[in-house]
Amino acid sequence: MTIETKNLTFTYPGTGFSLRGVDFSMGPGACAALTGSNGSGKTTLGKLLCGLLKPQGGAVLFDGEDTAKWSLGRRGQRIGYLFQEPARQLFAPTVLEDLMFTQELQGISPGEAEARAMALLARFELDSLARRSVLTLSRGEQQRLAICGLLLNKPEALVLDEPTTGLDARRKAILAGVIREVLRDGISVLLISHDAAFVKANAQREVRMEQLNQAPLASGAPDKSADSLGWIEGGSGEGAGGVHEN
Amino acid sequence: MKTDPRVTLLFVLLLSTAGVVLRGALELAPVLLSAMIAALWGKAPVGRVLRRLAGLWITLVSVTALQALFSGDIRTGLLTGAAVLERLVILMLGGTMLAAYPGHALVQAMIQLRLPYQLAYMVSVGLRFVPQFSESFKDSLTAMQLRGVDFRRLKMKARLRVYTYLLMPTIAAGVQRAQKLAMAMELRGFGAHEQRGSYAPLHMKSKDWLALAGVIAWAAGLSAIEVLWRIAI
Repeated sequence: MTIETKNLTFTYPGTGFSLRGVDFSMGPGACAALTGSNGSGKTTLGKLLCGLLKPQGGAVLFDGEDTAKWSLGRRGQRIGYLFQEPARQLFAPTVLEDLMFTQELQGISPGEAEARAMALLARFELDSLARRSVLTLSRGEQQRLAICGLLLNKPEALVLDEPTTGLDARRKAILAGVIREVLRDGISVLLISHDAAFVKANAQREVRMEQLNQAPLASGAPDKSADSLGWIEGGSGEGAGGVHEN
Repeated sequence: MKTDPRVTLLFVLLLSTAGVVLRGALELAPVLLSAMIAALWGKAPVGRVLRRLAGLWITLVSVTALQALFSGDIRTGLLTGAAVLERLVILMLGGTMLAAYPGHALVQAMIQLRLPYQLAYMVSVGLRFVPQFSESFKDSLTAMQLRGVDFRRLKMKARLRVYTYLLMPTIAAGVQRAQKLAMAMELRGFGAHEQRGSYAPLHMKSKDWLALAGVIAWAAGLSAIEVLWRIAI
């Protein structure tokens, strides 16, 4: 799926922070990273892509189709969003049940739902934890379970918001493996991250938020001239920040 | 300038008690009127609260309609429904009046009303958790939809099941936040000393004494009217 934004505008009321004229695109099967200083609007753009926030101007297009009137449920079938705090998107008491109940709501039989859930858990090395309470999982395990929950919908793209926060080197390596697995399925991944080493090791392209946002700096907002990670894709002018992977 | 929070606390306590104890729509009407006048006079953020609770109004009107439907004849039903609505608005206005004060002023008021400090502080902290619960619930609802659950297509039974699932992350987030807060408070020496000073003790001014007299007169008048009403019927 190709994800595009056209002249996207969004302002948080009463804060002075805004995104203006954001043009961004990401082709199918790509792994792009959205980087930038704190408060530069990375998470805001991620949320706008997934429909968690509604743009005040411009459009978010999936395969060229304007998604403005799509319900969150419909978007969720095409794109998954991993929250900074993965516990927010775990709902059932046990690991297995968390993957089963959404399937059952979609009319899938319990037997088939369990088989699908167990297959996903095995793929992400969580099968031994199937009967465990989701509350007793480590952050990395919660993250992988949340990704499993998103993958059940067979989305075409995933937005991972600061996925390395609170993970040690070993768990980061596991997460990198998960991302490779996801990419192998042809799912695009947008990494929103501060973690320069992780981005460099796992993303094919990097886009700095400061280059996408055409809004003037609000007081206290990050400096657009802040040092970048050094291998930025795009530049000023038309198509700045575009990430085209084919 | 706002009235001393102790006077407002007393008024809200009496108001809520009247709202719960009194049964009929006609009996509750003067209480509701008093609550409205007091909220406007105290510059309580009524408009803001009403806007925030916009979705609740549908529920309130539905509850009223249900009360009216299941209470025998239509007149009795409508009066019962109106009483429910009045009671809810009275309680809501009471809360809104307290929301006009900063948290530390309410804690200070409770301490000077001889409530143990720990208890007063916990009440204040508890109130701060309400918007966080609401935000957490909204986030979970969104996350659930992004997992492909389309609420519009679900039958009522399935929808109710989904709501029970939404409670788990909300409660878990609340408990985790409470644990962190408790730890942070311990580290800052909460309750380490038996004696405590106050940064900004409250002092009753003449207008506060006048307001207090007004509240007492209001409560006495309301009680007298209630007694006379009951004798009359």
